[in-house]
Amino acid sequence: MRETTGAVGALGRAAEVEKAARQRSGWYARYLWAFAAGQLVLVPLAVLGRGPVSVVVLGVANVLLVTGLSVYAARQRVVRRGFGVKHGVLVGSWAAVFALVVVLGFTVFGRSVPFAVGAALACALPLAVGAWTEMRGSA
Amino acid sequence: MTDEPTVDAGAEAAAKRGGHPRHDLAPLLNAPVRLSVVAALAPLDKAEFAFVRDLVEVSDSVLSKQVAALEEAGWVEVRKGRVGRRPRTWISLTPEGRAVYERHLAALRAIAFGGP
Repeated sequence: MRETTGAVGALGRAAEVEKAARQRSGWYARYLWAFAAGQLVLVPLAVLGRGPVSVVVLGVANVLLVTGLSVYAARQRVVRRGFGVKHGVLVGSWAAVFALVVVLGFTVFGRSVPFAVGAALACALPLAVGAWTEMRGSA
Repeated sequence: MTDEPTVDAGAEAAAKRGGHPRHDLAPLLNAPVRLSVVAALAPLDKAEFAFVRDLVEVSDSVLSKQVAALEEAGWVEVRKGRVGRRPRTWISLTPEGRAVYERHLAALRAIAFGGP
């Protein structure tokens, strides 16, 4: 009886600590939401912009976003299990979609505003899905 | 909990050997603080020393002692690094530590919820 009670108590403690560790390691969801929101600005700039001013604005915005997110990630005290693979898959998916929409924007759609809106949402989608799954993992 | 085996995995393993599931418990994890440290690391790739200390609610010296015991057993890895000028100590579970923890949980479940 005592052995059973002890086992139940130990299982409960372990479950509580694991849950707390997951809840306090949710920074990557915030990272991905910010990255996704950045796409809603950067992608229209890349698709619609022409000339040296838009290149400078796009470059500065990109550097600010990447620097800000990198500093934020480097300051975190915890990394969730499977982070490397997940981050690689998400950034790879984003890069593929981003490259595709920039090429299509330049070669097929020109300065189409509806295309720019769709492209921004397409680039934000893999990041938003990643953020959503991270948030579910924190529960 | 992490990659939960079936509830009676510990009981099945013990039954195969014809023993009580308590034989699958890792004696080192019978200490509540050590079990909590391993549980804190289970869903993570790595965590900073201070993160684990705050989560488990122990002092630096207590955590240091428990982590040293786990490191000696080969269940935890400790790495020191720097972010800018700030020194950081990272702790992570080794694959062996993860396997031992999962076996320990399975045995606890078998004891708590019944075996053969």
